[in-house]
Amino acid sequence: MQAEKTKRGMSRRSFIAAMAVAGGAALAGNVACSPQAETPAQSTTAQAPEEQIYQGLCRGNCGGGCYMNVHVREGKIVKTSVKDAPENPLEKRLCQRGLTHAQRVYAPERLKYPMRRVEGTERGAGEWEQISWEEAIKYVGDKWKSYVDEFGGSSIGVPLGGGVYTNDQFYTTRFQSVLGMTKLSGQYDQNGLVMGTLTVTRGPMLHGNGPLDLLNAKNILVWGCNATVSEQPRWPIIQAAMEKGANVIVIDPIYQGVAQRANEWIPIRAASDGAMALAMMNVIVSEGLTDPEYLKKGTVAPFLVKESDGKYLRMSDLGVEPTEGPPDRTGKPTVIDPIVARSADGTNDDKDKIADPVLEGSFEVNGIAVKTAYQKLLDRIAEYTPEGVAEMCDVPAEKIKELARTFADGPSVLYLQFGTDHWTNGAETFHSIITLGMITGNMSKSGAGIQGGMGGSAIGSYGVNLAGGMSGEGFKYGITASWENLPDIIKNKANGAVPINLKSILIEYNNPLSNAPGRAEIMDSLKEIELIVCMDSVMTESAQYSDVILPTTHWFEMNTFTAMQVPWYRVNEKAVEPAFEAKCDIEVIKMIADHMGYGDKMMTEDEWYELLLTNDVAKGLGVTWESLKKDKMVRIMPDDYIFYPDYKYPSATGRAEFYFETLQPNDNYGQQLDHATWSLPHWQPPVEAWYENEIFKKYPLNLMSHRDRFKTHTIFALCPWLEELRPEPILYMNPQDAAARGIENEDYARAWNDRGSVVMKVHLSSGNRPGVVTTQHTWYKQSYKEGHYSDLTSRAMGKFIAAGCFYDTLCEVEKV
Amino acid sequence: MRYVMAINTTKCIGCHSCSVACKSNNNLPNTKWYNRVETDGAEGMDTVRGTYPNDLYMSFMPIACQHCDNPACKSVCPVEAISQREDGIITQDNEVCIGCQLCLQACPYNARVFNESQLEYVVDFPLGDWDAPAHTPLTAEKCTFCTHRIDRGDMPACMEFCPASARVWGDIDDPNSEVSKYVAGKSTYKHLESEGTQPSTIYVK
Repeated sequence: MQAEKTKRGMSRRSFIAAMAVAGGAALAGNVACSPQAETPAQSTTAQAPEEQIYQGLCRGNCGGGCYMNVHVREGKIVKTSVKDAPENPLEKRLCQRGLTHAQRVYAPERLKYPMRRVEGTERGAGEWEQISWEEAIKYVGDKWKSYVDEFGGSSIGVPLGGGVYTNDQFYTTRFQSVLGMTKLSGQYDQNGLVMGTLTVTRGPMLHGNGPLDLLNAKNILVWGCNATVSEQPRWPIIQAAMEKGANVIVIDPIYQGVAQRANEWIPIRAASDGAMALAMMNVIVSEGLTDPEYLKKGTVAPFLVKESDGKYLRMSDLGVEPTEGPPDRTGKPTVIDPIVARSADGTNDDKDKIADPVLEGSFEVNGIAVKTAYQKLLDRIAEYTPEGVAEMCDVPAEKIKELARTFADGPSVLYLQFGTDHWTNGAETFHSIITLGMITGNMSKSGAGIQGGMGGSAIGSYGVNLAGGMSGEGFKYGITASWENLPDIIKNKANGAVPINLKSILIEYNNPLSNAPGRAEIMDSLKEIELIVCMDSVMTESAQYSDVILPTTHWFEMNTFTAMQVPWYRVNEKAVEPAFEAKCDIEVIKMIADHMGYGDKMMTEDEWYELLLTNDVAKGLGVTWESLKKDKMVRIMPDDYIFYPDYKYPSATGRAEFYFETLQPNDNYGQQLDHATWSLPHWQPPVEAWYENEIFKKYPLNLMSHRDRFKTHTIFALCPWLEELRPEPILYMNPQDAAARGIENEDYARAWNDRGSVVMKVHLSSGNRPGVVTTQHTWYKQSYKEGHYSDLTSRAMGKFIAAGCFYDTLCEVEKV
Repeated sequence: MRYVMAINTTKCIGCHSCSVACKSNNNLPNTKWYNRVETDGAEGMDTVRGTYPNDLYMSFMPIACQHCDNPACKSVCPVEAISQREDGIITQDNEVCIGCQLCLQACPYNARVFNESQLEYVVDFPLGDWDAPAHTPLTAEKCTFCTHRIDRGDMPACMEFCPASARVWGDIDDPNSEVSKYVAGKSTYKHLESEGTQPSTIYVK
């Protein structure tokens, strides 16, 4: 040991000299990428150098929408720090990821200049030639122009992810509308979000109240959401609610951080959640714990439904001629034919004229057999008893009853994220869980409703004129299809009945090759695409696989604003000049539009933000782009906002709907829908990861992914500091499953199924339900020892809603 | 006057915001961390011990220099590079440190890091606080309690924003300080007290 040879009082330099002799070359180590022999020492008398502080926005769409201080010295970003919340300390937001931005701006994987894949090399081979911006714009613009001329604007597809929600993003959406490009929506979280809209509609805070109303809840059901990680920005509010006495119950197959913090954890078989919600409703109905007042006034419950076709009984069925209503947006006259409800004395009339409608019963009206919508729901709920679903859910019937009673004794919040979403039965699950909220009246009042990623999060379009921004004279708009269906769209040259001949794809603001399910099949289908263009600030996995790379600015090298996630207009200030040759996305799109001859449709950056802030909300608050740049933050909604407290929901019926008269999926890609089944909450097993499915015998382990606390989707994927904390992907496994396969902690193991295979390190965790293996969904291919987690996932979507179903995946695991 | 840090392990969610704030503001070299967050569960980060679904347990414990009143590092240092300020903070003089690493072995909290001959950084200019202390090759370092910040009236970097409000700091000798009031009446302990180090960090359990 060197130290034993040293003597007290030996100087540091002489000791180093001694070590150099003893240790030799080993001490020199590798030459650093950015070595600094010694950072300048600061004496206590040193003067603070000039430091500018700007407001920056983190935009990983983790749900945080964090605003922060961006510190600049000598033209370089040196750190980020938490910014005081203007009104309530519970709105302070910043995290371990947001604290690393200074690295991300100057990251090793930062894209420096426009590049084109070297002709004759394979996509993804990493052979690039640097080209000028002029050449890059001409190359992409000429190709796109030829595709548009020959195959129409729909021949260019633009995947939309949940990547980066600031309003520069929608400038590209405007350009898509100009040309009629195909929007290839990555259908992340859509089972939940679309079902939320179909049932209770949307408000400024998505499907629920303002975030701080959580403090008024008596019970909070955290359902399929590891809130300490995936809802970290809102965790202070949950914690404050608990300190105020809220009873937090976690329903999750996996025991994670939030379960440790909660009052109770209810372990459940994955993907059976909807069945348990239906059984809870069964208990609530049979024990008389419903809220008839809310059902009558707020929901479609009293509406009479015709047995023949499932349509509502309307006044025209009673011989009352429909009247003409005000014209719709296209100028066509509308028809008013009110839905019929029934009073206790047998009067059937316009729902708005029946003061106290009956909720239950089957009737004959004018010779037409009808039932109330609520009666139809009761008939459906009767199929699901606690005893009937207990084994399937692996939750004792008594526990289901107890949970139902607790929830009904509100106000109770449904704290929903997307753990129950990423399944082929996710739509059914959300339909049932949200209906549970409706029948107990836990909607549209304080301390209740939907929170989490589904509520309590500003929608972003409220107070932002996106409709105006994305429309204009001569615009072609184009259709929205699902990224997950890309192989079918390419093969069939159509999405459902709509012809599309895809020639090019523009990847911007997202990284679908790492993030979307069914990666293996999608990668294969991309061979048919002639030109893949990627705009990003870093070399993402999607950038690696493209033909042309256009380097864009880091978030703190440009001006933009948002009103999403936190109910404030927030400006993001340009803190430094773009590094290298990077240009802001708006500038790049404008250059391409100019080259293609559409320059007159695409305005300047300042004009764009002015247009978005031309709306009634901004006008009421006196906000303009100029004033926002000065004020930086302006509140647009109170934090304790209540979701439609007057029950005037903006749905077709004007009510919250647990019953669907028509079925309106987000993407008509050819799915066959049975109205009788889908018009009401119900439960079906998921198509793959279910213990009764045949394939379960071959692949008995359910592979689910989760958010990593060190990444937001794939943003921060290669962040050096965060990689020091979690250097590689981990497969979490119950010790029992590992022992059965001879796998020990820290072993490398292969997970595989018929679609793909991946090798990663195993950590044993008893929090994993036996039969369930989990991993982070947030790594690039190069981080895996072999393969890619996402190659195991399938493109299967729900039977109703187009939604990515990452969790509905089975596999087997072996030691390597 | 005795500065201490109180950490509530019943609240910590293991997010590492404190670790990264420390890393950033102190411009720590690659691979060096003053403040780590240990999972108290199974063996790896974010793992759970017990038998599903019963007796499951996982919590988190941030660990940095405990600024002990009887520091093991100080007693083994052959060159008296380590000293204690009047406010209790254990400091280190890197001009004196000879990098023998005895302190690394002596510290029961594994709170010390060793700077190799070549320190690496992600970028080629200093990040973090303008007055972050220099990092010297072939010396041992540790949490400074952000003396560079608190001496100019700021708070330690790890205190800037804990989303679980699991950290409180201040003068434990002052009964009216935030930290004194925070720990009063709570169930607390000090980590590895049996080592005789008289650590100052107070853990609330």
